[in-house]
Amino acid sequence: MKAVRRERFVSLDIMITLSALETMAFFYYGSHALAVGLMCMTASLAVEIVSLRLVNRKFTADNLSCVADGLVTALMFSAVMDYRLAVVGTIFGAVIKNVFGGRENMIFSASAVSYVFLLTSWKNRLLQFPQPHTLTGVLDDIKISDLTVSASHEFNSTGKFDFSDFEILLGNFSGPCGAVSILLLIISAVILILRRDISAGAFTGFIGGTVLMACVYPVCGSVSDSVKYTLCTNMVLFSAVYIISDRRISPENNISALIYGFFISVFSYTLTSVNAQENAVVTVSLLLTPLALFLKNVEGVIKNNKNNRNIENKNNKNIEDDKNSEGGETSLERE
Amino acid sequence: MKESSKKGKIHLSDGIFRDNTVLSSLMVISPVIVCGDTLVNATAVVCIFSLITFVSVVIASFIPKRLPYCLRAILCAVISSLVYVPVRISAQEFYPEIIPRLGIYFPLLALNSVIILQTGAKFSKMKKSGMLVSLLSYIVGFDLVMIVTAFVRELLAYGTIDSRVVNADFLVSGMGTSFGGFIFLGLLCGLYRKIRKSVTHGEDSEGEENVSCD
Amino acid sequence: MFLVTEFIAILGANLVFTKALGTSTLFASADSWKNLVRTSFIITLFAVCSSAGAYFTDLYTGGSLENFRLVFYVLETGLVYILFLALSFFVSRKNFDRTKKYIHLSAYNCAVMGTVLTVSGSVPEGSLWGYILSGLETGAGFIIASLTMSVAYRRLNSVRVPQSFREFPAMLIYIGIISMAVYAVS
Repeated sequence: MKAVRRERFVSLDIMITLSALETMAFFYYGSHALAVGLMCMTASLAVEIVSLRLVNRKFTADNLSCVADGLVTALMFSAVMDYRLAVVGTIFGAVIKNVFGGRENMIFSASAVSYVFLLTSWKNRLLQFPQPHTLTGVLDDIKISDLTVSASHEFNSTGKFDFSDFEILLGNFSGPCGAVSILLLIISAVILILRRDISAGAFTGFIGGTVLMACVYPVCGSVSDSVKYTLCTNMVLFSAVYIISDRRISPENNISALIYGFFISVFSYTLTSVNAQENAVVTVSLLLTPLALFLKNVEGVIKNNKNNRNIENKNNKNIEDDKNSEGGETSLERE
Repeated sequence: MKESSKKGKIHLSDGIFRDNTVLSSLMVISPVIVCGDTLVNATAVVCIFSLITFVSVVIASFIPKRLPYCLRAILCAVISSLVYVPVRISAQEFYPEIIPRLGIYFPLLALNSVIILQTGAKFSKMKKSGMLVSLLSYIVGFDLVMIVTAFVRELLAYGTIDSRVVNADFLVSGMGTSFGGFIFLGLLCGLYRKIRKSVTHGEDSEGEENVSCD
Repeated sequence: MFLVTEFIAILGANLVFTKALGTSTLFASADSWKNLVRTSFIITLFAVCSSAGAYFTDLYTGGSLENFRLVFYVLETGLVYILFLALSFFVSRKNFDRTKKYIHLSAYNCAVMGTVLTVSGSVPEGSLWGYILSGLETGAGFIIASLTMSVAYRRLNSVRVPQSFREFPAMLIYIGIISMAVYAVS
């Protein structure tokens, strides 16, 4: 009961932090961003209900985590994303998640799957963003000519990031609508880690690894700028909180999670600095899913061995107690 | 008479539905995944596969069963690679664009698992008449899956049917890639299993009713 | 960083993820570590030896014999097949029954023949080492794909997976998602 209740509250905490990001997106980009969010959440919920019906399972409050998944997916998109693409991407991710057994047997992050699917099929449309404070209504026409590449793309290509610290913290630069509000993301990360809603090990491993790589192989003139801009661009913080540190995906043990997070940081930093790949962390998190599964399997083996040893010790203790209580007679002799 | 006709019916449909070459036995899946993105490619694969497999298995069915397994497998492979030669020469003459389009999957079709594995495991143990019917059903089973996959993937990925543009304004370019093939085939496989389960359940319950009536 | 880019390059050229070759063998061998190790080892050996044989085939066939190349590849792979069986029998008769099934599975496997057919067109003539390297790359790619499958095997066969999708359909979709990620990075 305790574990069940915990998952519901985890989803609730995550939804609260995501709602703050969505509110910020609404402030910067208008009601279109809100509509995309609502559509993704609805699509995710619909797929979950249909999938559970098809396998004759009950819909419980725990299954509402799909709504959080939908909102995470929406916040990775541009604020003026085509509704059809957003819904198709979300449905794809949700279907894949349910094909593997749903929330009880998650192999891939549904949001990461949605994002990478859209990246491989509609790359140009996915990576075009409006400038902040360009308000777009729900039914407004979106002109592709008004959209630009993200600030992360500029940073990857040129190594320059011409925004003040204040602008960076408030997310006043173009990019995925949920991944640019750095201050909100930092606050969300702290809250979710303190409430143990996300994996502290995976978060630390990923952020620590990214910082280390930015120090050893800086992409800017100075190391401090390299670290600062690396953490603020390419959805690094957003992915660290909502994808990599997702407790359903990352290993349970903090050491294993640290290793998992560290490897993702090394791979994604390399792809970003060498190939100038935008938002590589999402793709890498999908690619290194087998590593997370391997570490979980190892954890399972260690746990089983520990349990077997505990059972053996208990049995030995029982036998000794029998010996002492019967004055040296063993149970065999008694029989 | 009824029983034997029922048995004949079972042979015919096995390779198409109950034990489909691709969806059930998971054989010859690489051409479906990589070449099954357009109907033009699929048609070429279907023709080549059907011709080579049919001729090769019929000839290979005369290989003595007393030979060790490895020699039978090698002989099957040699026979199919020899059958491949005139097919390739004909393709060069009449459809030269097919060879670069299919790439390594053209010769690989000559060494597919239906010829190499199933000839020894299944077909050579059957009577000739039954073997022909069963072989045809396996070939048709593959052909159907190939055509259906190519039709859907081409429509979704390129908005065309057999290279003719259709008024499709929503394209999923990922469906034309190998990962799209994997995912589509996986979903199709799941759907096939669901349908097969419900059909075989229905048939089992019908059979029980007949027994109870008798 | 060099290692990471090389690893990504190997993934990008992986026969399973990009060309769907050897997928059935992969599914068959992923159920246990022993099967995985043995199958991967034997496929690597086959790929290397067949590729080396293909070098000599390509050296002496050309022009009018080009249409018969597949026959020669089949014959030289068959020779390797018999050689491996004989070696396995004489080296360890006790384990021969167990080893021979892996050899039978690997002989005319898509991954092995796919390597031979790929290398014959892409490597410049007069480079035996290039052919052998291609075989080794196939083996490494197959090992990576096998490891990727084996860590998820239990979850893909879990009772929580809907029955229609348990085992093969889920495995196909799993490989598809990994392949999608490989496509996105490369």
